[in-house]
Amino acid sequence: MRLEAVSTRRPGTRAAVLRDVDLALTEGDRVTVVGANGSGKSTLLRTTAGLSLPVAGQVVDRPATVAYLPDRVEPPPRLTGRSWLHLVLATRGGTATDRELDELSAELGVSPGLDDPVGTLSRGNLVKVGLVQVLLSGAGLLVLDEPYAALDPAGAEALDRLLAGRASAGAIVVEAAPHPTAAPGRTAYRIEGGTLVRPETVVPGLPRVRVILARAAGEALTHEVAAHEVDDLLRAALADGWSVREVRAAPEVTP
Amino acid sequence: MSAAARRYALTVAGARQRLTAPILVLVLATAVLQVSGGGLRPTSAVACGYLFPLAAWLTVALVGADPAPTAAIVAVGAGGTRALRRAQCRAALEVSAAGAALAYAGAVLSNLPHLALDDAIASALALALSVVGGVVLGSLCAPPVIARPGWSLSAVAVVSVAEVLVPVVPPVGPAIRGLGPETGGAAWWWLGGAVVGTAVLSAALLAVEKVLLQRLE
Repeated sequence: MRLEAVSTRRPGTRAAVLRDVDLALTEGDRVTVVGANGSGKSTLLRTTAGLSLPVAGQVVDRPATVAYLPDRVEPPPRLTGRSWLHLVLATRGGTATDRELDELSAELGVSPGLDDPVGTLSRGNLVKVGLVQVLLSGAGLLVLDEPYAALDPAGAEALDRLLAGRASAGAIVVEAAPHPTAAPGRTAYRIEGGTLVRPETVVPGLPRVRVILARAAGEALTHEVAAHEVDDLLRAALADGWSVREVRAAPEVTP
Repeated sequence: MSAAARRYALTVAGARQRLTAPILVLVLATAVLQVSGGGLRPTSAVACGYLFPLAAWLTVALVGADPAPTAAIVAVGAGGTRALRRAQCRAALEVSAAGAALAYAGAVLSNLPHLALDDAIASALALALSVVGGVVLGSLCAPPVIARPGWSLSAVAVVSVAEVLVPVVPPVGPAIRGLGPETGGAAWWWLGGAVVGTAVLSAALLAVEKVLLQRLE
């Protein structure tokens, strides 16, 4: 699929968000879009997913099926995660067995499980429930808005593994992140001034650093970045209220 | 998939208790109408007066049940935000039509066996127009066009009062006149005007809504 000279504006206003964005994606691509708050990451993702129409340019050859994870997932509090997931999957013509739901939710670490009302789940677990519908969708395009933001380290690692699996099966995966989160096999783009800049492909063999951040609410984040990006990441994270739990060399990638 | 989207919309709105109040009012109004009795035409005219705002209220409730980010999850799978909105409006139409059918059946049964065919047709037509017009108004007043529920329902209330008070505003105004004391040709002129007026006004409102949604998405 391709984004061709896509320009967007903030909904309900004339303020431009993205200008002449070009992006070509092929099956199996895994792309991370990074940028500051309000830089237009979510707008780019919504446009990629077909939820927002560009004011200029076009999106062509979008895969027939799309799955989307917004930055906030708020199913009706009284429904169980399982009921909500069955309803959502049915709207795109798919189904999943209870066993598939249980296996995937266990892999992501949904706690206590899918049979409790979603109103009793923490923010991180709500995101995990949202991720289940993305990962079980069988869609050709997976669009995820800051999926790691509320996940614990184990959940983040599981998600990374699962998304890599979907990409290797041919799906296009597009994620947004506030900080550089490029990992082996991913291409990172930064949004600056409304345009996509600095494409950076992670080359196996280059030194990379794993940074684990934590916040008082029990949230934790794992980032894997190029060594020269660590200072930027730590500055942004500390300014955002995170504390640094660990900084160490990432496991080397075998070519 | 449209059926699944309608089922999703109804389940979610029900789980969030967005449907409780309008359905309760619908049932109560229908029950009061049946108890108070009267001929088919006057009973249907009263039903038009309350079905129009209730259909709009149900539409606002169904379209705005999910917060926008959560609705987006369903929209991408259901064929886009417009397709999801159509499914939500259709769900509102089905629930409102069920309410109208209930009111109509009660009025017909209480007027048997002295039921005139033209009364039955005119009443059914007026009720159908009120429901369709209400859903169109509700869609225009629902998020994101009017984002806040209080303003949405205020807009519905103002238009509904105008509908009853101003005879020429379709669908309720002319429909009520068509079911009123005037009979024969004059009544059918009012009802014909209601049909044409509702079609034209609905098309205009949906066009306005389309433009507004393009700006707001």
